Amino acid sequence: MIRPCFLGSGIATHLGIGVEENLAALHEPPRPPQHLARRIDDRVESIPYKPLRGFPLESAEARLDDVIDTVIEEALDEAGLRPSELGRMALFVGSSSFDISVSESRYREELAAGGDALPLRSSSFGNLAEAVRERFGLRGEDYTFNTACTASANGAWYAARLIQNRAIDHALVLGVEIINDLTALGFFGLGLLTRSTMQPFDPGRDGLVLGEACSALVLGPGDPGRFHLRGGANLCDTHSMVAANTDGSAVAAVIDQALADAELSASAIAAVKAHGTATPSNDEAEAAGMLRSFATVPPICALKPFIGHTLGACGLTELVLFYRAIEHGFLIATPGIGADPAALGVMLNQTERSMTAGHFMLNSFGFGGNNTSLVISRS
Amino acid sequence: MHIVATGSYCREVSVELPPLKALAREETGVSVRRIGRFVQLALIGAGRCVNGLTLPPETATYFTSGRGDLEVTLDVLVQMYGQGHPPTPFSFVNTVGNSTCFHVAQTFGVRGRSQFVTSRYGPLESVLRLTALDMARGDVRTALLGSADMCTAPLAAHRARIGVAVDTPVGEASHWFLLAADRCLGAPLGVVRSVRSFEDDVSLRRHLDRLELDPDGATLAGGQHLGRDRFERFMEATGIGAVWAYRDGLPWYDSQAGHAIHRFLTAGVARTLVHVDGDPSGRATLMIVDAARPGATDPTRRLRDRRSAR
Repeated sequence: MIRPCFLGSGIATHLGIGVEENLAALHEPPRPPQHLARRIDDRVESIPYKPLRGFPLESAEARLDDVIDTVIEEALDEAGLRPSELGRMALFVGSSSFDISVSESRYREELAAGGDALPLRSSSFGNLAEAVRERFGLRGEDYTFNTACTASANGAWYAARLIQNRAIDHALVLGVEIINDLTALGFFGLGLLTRSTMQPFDPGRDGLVLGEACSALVLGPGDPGRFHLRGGANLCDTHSMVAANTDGSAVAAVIDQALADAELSASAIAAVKAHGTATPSNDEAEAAGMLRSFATVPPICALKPFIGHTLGACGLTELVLFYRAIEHGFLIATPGIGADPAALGVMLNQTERSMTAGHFMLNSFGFGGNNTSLVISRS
Repeated sequence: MHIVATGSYCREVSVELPPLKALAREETGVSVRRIGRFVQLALIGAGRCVNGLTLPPETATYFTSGRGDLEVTLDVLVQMYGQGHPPTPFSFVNTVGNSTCFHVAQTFGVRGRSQFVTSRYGPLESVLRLTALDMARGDVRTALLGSADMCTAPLAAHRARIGVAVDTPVGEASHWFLLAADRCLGAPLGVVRSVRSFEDDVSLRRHLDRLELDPDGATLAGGQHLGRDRFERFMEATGIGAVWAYRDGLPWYDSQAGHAIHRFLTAGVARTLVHVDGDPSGRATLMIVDAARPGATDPTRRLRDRRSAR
């Protein structure tokens, strides 16, 4: 079976543009969130979020295209595929909101201009993938995943599986999440936003900060020394549409299945990248799941304090940040956040540890009970 | 990959959107609360497919749609910008594509993997291909796979939104299939032999040449994005003379390929369905489905017969 290696990656988040800028920022404490002012009924509310750095909020459409092209070009430059390989490459897009920011912007403009305004002119989930295929000359198969916060993780997983089965040679996986009113006000309405900062697994946690991100990963056959996607699992938890079962059973089930798929024991995992939304019940469920699956819970890191919750893009974006950090020799730390294991029985990594290889678990959990656990490895 | 059962709902919408709630309740046997028309539509097809069977709990759910729950997304946008109200929690969570997977899994008591996968010009083909991958790898033994595509009012705006001419008949549909990697759920109605994508028509024609299809036992069908010229070249390449125009009279919606498989399995069209489609950039897709030998029975048919006899 072919090993699906990470041949190149690109990233843009609140931390910056490009892998190097993002990695440099991970050595610093997370920055406080910015705030979007949004009128809700008869009052103005403040929505905490972490916007993309370096992509000013101007034309919604140009901004979306610009950030996508920037991260894909970074990933493709590093991968260095031949033109024929690029042409055949398959595309996997994962997002929660796709181009809804563009649809909202157009609708607002049409309403402001008076006359007939048509909401959601761009209504196909597949439009974003089509635009990317066209701009980059990709003629391989394409898949668009819309499984909430697991979307791009699922995209990466299926890309790896198709490569393992020799169904495709190379894959470009794209995760993208751009701020939009539907998401911002939807999360506000659910009462899931923090009033301060994002503190996963912390006794003081009170919710999440939304984040913008775009990330790209090129997968294909590669040298044994490269990181590769070794295994994974996805399961549906029908406990609740918006919250995991706090007994941890559903989380443990997907972790156990991912370990089995990767043909590893729990003790072989060197570190876990948690989903860590900092909402009271989801962190409780995730912690309980890890305690069920691991006799000794490995070091855990959480990346959302740095970049916010980037929803459909978080699976891939956090995977890229995580594996690039390990390649650079360190396990990401969040000093002062999630430092007290008294409440949930787990704690986040508090100081940067030296780490360059091993097996790692990356968890993503989404609305609709969509739970995905990936295992990546580097020897 | 065996197709063990199929269920379908397809209706042209010419004036008003038909109510679906009572039908969803009838087909699932469950009183589903706090769900919109889109999930109701999905549950109708799924309910007809499952038809009272108790599914193995590890059954996976795969779902596709061209545009998802347009109604709830439009409602949220109009509320936000027209009236200044935020989306209700109910509306917001239903804008998420895989909320339908959740409702289907919950209704039929399954908790296997759950995926919402689509593609602009081949929603059903995309999800079918990944399901076939999971089954071929031995990771998934039974699965519910389906599509749903809805209309919204007013229909003139709906046609503009989906990019069809003002006189194109439009419709709502939900096509579902109960799939098994082996005969664990009984004898199949048919077998999905192949589902693949090709970078151009030449590659697909070359592939068809190698398959050595029996031109007498097969029927060739063209999908909704394939022009007449391209289809005729595939006819020539395969030597299949029997053409099945399954789209005649079918209203426009995104996942019409689901109707092809459903009708092929239930109407006794031929021994093999060769379904080809393509996108405007020249890529092509292929689905080959073999009908089961005579004597194969749909395990849900017995229940259907019993119910209709009452």
